[in-house]
Amino acid sequence: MKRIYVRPELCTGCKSCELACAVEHSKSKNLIGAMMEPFPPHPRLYIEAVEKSSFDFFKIPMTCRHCDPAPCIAACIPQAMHRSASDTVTNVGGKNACIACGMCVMMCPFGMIARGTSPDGKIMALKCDLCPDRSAPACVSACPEGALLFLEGDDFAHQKRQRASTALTTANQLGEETLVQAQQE
Amino acid sequence: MERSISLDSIQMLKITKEMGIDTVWDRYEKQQPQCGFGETGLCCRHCLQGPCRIDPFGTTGPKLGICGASADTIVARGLARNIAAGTSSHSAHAKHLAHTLLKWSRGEAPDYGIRDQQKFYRVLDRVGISREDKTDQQLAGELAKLCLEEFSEREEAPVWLKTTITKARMEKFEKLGIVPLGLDSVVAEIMHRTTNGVDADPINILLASIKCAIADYSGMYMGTDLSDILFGTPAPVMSTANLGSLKVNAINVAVHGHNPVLSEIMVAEAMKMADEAKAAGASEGFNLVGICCTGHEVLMRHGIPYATNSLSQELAIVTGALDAAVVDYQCIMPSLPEVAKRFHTAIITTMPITKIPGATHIEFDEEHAGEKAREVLRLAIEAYKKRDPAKVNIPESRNNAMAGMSAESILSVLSLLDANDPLKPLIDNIVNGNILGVCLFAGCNDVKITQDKFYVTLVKELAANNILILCTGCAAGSFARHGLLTPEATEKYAGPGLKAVLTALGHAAGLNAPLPLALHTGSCVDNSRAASIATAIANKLGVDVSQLPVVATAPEAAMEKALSIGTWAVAMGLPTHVGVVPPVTGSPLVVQVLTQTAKDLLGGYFIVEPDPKLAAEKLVAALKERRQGLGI
Repeated sequence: MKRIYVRPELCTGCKSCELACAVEHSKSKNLIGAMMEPFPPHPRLYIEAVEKSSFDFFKIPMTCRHCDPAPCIAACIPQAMHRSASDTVTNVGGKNACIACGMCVMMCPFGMIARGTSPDGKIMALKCDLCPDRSAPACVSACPEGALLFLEGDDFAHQKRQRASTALTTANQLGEETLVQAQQE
Repeated sequence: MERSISLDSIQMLKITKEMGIDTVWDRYEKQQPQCGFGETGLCCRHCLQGPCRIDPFGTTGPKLGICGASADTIVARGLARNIAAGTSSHSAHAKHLAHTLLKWSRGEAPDYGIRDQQKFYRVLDRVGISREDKTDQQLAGELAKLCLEEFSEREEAPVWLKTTITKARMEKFEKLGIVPLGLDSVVAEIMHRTTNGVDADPINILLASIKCAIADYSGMYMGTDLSDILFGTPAPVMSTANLGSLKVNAINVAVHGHNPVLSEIMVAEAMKMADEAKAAGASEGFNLVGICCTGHEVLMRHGIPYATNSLSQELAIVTGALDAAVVDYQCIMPSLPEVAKRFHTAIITTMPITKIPGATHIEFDEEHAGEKAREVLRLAIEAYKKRDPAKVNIPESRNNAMAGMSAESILSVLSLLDANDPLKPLIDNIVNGNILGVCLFAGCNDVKITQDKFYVTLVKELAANNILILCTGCAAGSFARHGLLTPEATEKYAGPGLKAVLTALGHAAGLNAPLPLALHTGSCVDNSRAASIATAIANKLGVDVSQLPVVATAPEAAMEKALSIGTWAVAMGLPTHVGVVPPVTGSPLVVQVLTQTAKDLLGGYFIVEPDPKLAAEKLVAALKERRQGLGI
C-alpha cells in the first residue's frame, strides 16, 4: 500500500505542500477560487520548525501515517473514523458522521488531526485522506524538492538502501585507492 | 498545453526536442509547480528578517508578516516595486537616447543626426524651447539637457507629462496627488516607501504605484519623441516576418533588445559592408533581422524583417542559420549562449549594463558607433564561416507585414480623406458606428500561455466586432508572424463597418487594398503613440480620454514593464485587460482597487480575464458603455 514518505533533509520549508493540500481540499480546487470560498480550506499536513541553532531551524514535513492499528479509530466514539477499502484512515464516509468531539485530535501521536471547518461549513476533525481523486497526493506533486514521496514502503526503504550503499561503495573505493597509493610510495 | 500556435516555433521545437536543447518552455516545466505564495504576491523579501508569507486562506498560517505588514500591505508593496522596475526600464531607454542626442550636439557622436527635423521642431515647440537664432546642434543640446533634467526631482510636473495629456487628466492627477516630480526620483520614492517600516497603507501605496506608472508614460513618450528625431518618424513600410525571413545564402544577423541606438547603425553599416560578406561566401550579403522591440524599431524605419518575438528568441538560433545575435537590453534570455553552444551563432552583448556569461562582449558607445558596428559585423562573418549546412533548418513560414503606423502616419493617411481636419473621418466613423471603438494590443508573450493563441483569438473576435486595432511590441510581433498585418487579414476577419473604413483608407493611401487588420504602431515604448492619438481625439472633442471608446489589452503579459504600461493605461482612463493573473490575488482589497475603485477615481480600470472569448465580450461591453456615456 502506497504511503507518503518524507525526506526531511530535502525540505526547504517553502510550504507549497500545505498550500496544495488546502487547495485540493477546497470546493473549487484552484488557488484563487479557494481563497474566495466562504469556508476557506485547511491543510492536512504541516511543515514544523525544529530549532537547530539559535539562528537556524530544521524544517520537517509532518504527515498522517495512516497507522494500523490507528489510535484515532480506536478513540472515535461515533465510529466516523474508519479504515476505508483503499486502506486510508478517514472520518469521511464512516458508520456515523463526525461529531467534532476531538477525541482523535487528542489521541493522534503525531498531532496530524485538527478540528476545523470543512469547505461545506461543517465543524469536524480534518485529516489527510491521501487525496482519493488523484493518482498521487497533492502535497507530493507540489513538492519542488522531492522531499515528499508517495511509494510502497519497500520501495522507499530500497531507495534509502541504494543511497546508503552508494555512499559505502564510494568510501570503499576511496579507501582502496589510498591504500594502493600508499603501497606505491 | 501546446507551446505555440506559430508554425515556425512548432517546427523549431521539434528540433530542440530531438537535439535535447532546453528552451524557455522546458525551463517553465521544470519550475512546476510554482510557489503559491509568490503567485498570490503573499511573499515579502523586503528585509533580512524575512522571507515572510501570509496564509492565503487565513486558516492555520500567519496573517501578518514579522514587521506586522498585512496581506494587503505586502501585495501592494510588491506590485509597487514591479511597476518601479518597469518604469526604470523605459526611463533608461529614454535617457540613453537623450545622451546620444547630447553627444551629437557636442559633435561627439558623428554617426548620428537629426533625421526628422519637422518632428524635432514640433517637440521643441511643445516643450517650450525657443528656436530663435539657434542652430540644430544648440537646440539638440538644450532638448537633451531638458530630457535629462526630467529624471531628477523638481518642484513641478515633468514636461513630457503636462504637455502630452488632456487638461482634465492633468487636473485629476493633481487632485489625487499622483503627479510625479521626476521620472527617476519616483522610482527611488517607491523603493523608499515600500521598504520595511515606511508606507503600510495599501491604498496609499497603490496611488504611489499609479504615480510611478505616470512617470513611466512620460519616459516612454520622451523615448518615442527622441527616437523619431534621431532616426526618423516611421512611415508605412512593407516587410516580412517569421523565422522564414532568414536566408540560407546570407549572413544572418539578428538585432535583439529594445533600443534603436545601436541597431540603426548596424543597418547602415551592414549595407556598406555587403562586399565583405559576399567575399566570405554569402552571395546575398548581410541579412539583418529583428527580434523583440529592437526588431520593431528597425522594421518600422527600414523594413528589416521581423524574425520573432522575445519568447521564441532561442528558436532563431535553432534554425542553424543565425550567424550572430547582437543584443542591447531588456527581454534578453541569459540562456542564449547555452543554446548557441550547440550551433555556431555568436551571441554579442553590447551594453555595459547587460553582460551574459558565455557571450562575447563588444562594448558599444555612441562616439564610435560605426566602428563598433563594423566590429560586430566582422564577428558575424567569422561565425558564418563556421556555419554547419547540415544543421540549417530555416522554416518555410514567412508572412508579409505592414508596419510603421506612427501617430503621424495615421494622421497623414486620414488627411487624404480630409486634409483640413484629419481626425474627422475617424471620429465620424466611430460616431456612425462603423467603428465600435479602438483597442490597443500591447504586452509580451508569456510562457504560461500557448504562444500567440490569446492574441490571435482575441484580435479576430474584436475585429469581427468592428473594433479598430492598434498594436505594439510583442503584440505587433505576434500579429506580424500570423499574417494579420496584411490587407488579406482585413478582408478575412474585419467586421463590415471596420472593413469599409480600412478599405477606404487603404485605397486613399494608394495601396489598392485595405489597410491591415491591425495597425503596427511601434515598439513597446511606442505605446505613447497610441496615447497621443487618444489625447488628440479627446482634445478635439473637448472630452477626456476616460470618456472615449478606447480600451487596451495585454493578453500575454509577462514583464514588469507590462505592469507599468497597464497601470498608466488605467491612469489615462482606459479599461485595460490582462490575460495573465498578476501576483496580486493574495489581497482582495488590492484586486478591488485595481478592478473597481480605479474606475471611480480615474475612469480606467483593470479587467483580468484569462479566457479569450470572455475577454472579448468584456472589452466589447466596456466600449459600449463608453459609447453610451457619450450618447452615440
